[in-house]
Amino acid sequence: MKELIETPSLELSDLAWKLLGRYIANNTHLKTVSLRSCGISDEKMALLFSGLTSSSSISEFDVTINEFGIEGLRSMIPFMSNSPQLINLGVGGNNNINSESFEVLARVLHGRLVEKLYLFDCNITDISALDTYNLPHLQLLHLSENNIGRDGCITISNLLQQEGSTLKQLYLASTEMGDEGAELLATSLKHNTKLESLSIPKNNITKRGKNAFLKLLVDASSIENTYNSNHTLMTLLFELYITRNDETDRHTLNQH
Amino acid sequence: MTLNKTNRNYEATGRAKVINYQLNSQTRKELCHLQGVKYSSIGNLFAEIEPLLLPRILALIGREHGHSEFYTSLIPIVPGLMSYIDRRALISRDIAAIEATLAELTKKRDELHNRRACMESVADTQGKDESDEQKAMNCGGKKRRI
Repeated sequence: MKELIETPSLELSDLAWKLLGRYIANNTHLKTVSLRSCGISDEKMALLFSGLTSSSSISEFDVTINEFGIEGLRSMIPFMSNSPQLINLGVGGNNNINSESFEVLARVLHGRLVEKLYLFDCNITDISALDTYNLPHLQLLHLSENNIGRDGCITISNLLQQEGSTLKQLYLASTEMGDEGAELLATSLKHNTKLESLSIPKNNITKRGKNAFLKLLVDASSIENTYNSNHTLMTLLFELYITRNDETDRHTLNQH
Repeated sequence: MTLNKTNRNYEATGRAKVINYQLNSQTRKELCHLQGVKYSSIGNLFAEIEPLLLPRILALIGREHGHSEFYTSLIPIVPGLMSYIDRRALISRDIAAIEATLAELTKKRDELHNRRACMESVADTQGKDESDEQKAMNCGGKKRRI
């Protein structure tokens, strides 16, 4: 078995959650685990991860849209620390995951291979942990529906300006960034040659914020500045709709 | 954005953006207005460009944006283009060309003179020989008669 997808309607006993964790840990072929929308609470997370403390094969782990918070996340720490193949991690859609949880997650994933991190629709307001901890392979960061505001944009701007920045896709819908946050992001992308997709709808971005991106993509102040504009960003969303990338990523997280 | 998607090569994308957004006066005017940048005429814009490239750029404008845009771009830079011409060098080049032609023609003329002189000299020699022969014949006749 290479894929385990749990269905929302399936109710498992406490013992079953424990056994499931052990089974996943002992399976050396399992690559993808999706436990999306399974009503997993902190208690169930503790049961599941009591036996699941490592995996030699899992590359994608999706526990999005559940009911756990920081305690559930803490239960995952041994698994995240001892799963060298883990590259896609989805814990979004859990309203109890807050800034402290984010700090825990960033600390655990520091220096690891994680490439895609789904943290949409949580309760995160502070992402400054990313200033301290380094996710050197991070390509996709989904932080939509978290009120990270202007300060969050500063942290992300710092990430985007780093020489070794690896971020290719950034989802920041409904993050209260406003024009100021949009301008910060646009400025940070001036010399960035990695980010290809940026989604920032529902952020009260007016003409001022949009013009900052226009200047980023085609700086009209001189021929040289036009020539040296950002040529990497290929998708920029100001309006809300599910992009093909969103669909693909969610699909990927559920597939394999 | 479309250009970023279409051209995966950095240089090609930059070039395409310059052609699309800078070398079209209307598009550039709109962009400058949107970005709060002071719009400068194409003449001022071309001040940044190496003068020798201007004819090629004008040709590019004509090709990409049509004759109307070509003339719009050409008009303000005609005085500039004229001033780029080094008249002294042009005259020197013309003088050099004329001198070369003159030298060639002089050479040809001298050759012709020589040929004609040769021909005349040969003709003179032949004429003299003939008269000497005549004299000799006359003398011989006399001797034979003796």
